Amino acid sequence: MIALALAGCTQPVGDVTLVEPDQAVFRDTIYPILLRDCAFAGCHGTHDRFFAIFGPGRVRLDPATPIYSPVTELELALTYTRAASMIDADRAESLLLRKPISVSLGGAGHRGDDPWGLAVFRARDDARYVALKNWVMAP
Amino acid sequence: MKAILLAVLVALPGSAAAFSDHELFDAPVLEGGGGSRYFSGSRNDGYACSVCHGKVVDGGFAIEGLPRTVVPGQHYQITVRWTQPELPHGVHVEISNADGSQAMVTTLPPAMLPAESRCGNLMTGEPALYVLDRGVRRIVGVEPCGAAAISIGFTAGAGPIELAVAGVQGNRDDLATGDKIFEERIVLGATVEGPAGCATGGTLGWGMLVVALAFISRRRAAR
Repeated sequence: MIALALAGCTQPVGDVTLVEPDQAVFRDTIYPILLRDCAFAGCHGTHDRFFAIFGPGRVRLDPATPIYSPVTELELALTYTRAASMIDADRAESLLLRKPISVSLGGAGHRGDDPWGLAVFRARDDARYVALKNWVMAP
Repeated sequence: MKAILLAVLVALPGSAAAFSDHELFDAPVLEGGGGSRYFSGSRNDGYACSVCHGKVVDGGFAIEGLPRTVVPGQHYQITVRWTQPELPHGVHVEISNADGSQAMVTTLPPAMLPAESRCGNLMTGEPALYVLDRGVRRIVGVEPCGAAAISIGFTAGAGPIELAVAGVQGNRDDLATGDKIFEERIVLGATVEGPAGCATGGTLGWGMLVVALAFISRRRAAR
C-alpha cells in the first residue's frame, strides 16, 4: 500500500491510497472479462468514458491497430490503470464491484443494464463476477 | 512520459469491429471474438448489435406471421424479411421461453431453403442461414451475403415467448460506424384455450370469467 500526501495541493486534504491489484491476474483473467462484457463501443469501449477498455475485436486504442491484432501493452496498461482506480480503500465498496450488479444485489446503479433490465452480472456467484471480486479483494 | 503518451492516445478516435463471420461470435475474446456472446438481444445476451454499432433505426425489417399471443403447444411459423435486401444484412434471431431456453425453434434444411434465404437471393446461392445451438439456446443467424428473408418455426411452451431479432445493414466499409441497426424484442403472452375453444389472452382470467358466468346463469335458470 502506498500512501501519498497530496503534495501538489496547497491545502492537503488527507492521504490517498493507491491500490495496485495483481497485474498478471488482470492480464490473464480480468481483462478478458472486461473486454467481453464491457468494452463495447456504446459502453466502455470509448474515449468518452473514464473507465475505458480497448482491445481486439472491439475499439482499438490506436485506430491504426488492426482490429483483430492482439491486445497491445498500452491497451492493457490503460485498462489496468482505469480498473485499478475504481477500487476503493474499502474494496468491497468499490465501484468496479458495485456497478456491474443490480441494485437489488447491492449494486450502485448502472446505465449498462440491458434492455431487459438485467445487470452485466446477474448473480453474485456468476463465475466472472467472482473472478472480478477475487481480484479486487486480494491483499 | 508514458502518462503523456497515454493521454495523447486516449484523445484519438478509435476504429471498431465487425463480426462479419459468424464464427467470431464463438471465438475467444482475446482473439477479438464474442467469447460466446451472440448479440441477439435476447435475455441470454442482453445486448444486441447496437451496443457496438450505435443507434437503432426503425423500418429495417418486417416480421410476418407473428401472432399476438401464443397457445401452449401450438406451432408457429414466422418470416423475418428485411426491406433493403440489396445491401448485406447480418441477422440473429432468438426465440425463447422466459427462462431463456429455446422454444423448439426449427428452420428448413439447407437444401430446402428458398432463394430469399440464400446468398444473392438466388436459388443457386449458398444457404445464408446458420443455426447455433449453445446449451439451452438456439440462435438462428444470417450471413451478410445478400439473402432477403428467413423463415423460422417455434412451438410455444407454457409461458410467454420472447422473440429477439437483431440485424446490421452493412455499408461495406468494415467499420461499425455508418451501419444501420435494427432490433426488436417482442414478448408474446401465453394464451389458454377457453371453454368454447376460443383463445383467451394472457392468463386464465377470461376463461374463468366465462365459466363463472355460465355457472351463475345455470343457477338462475334452475330457480
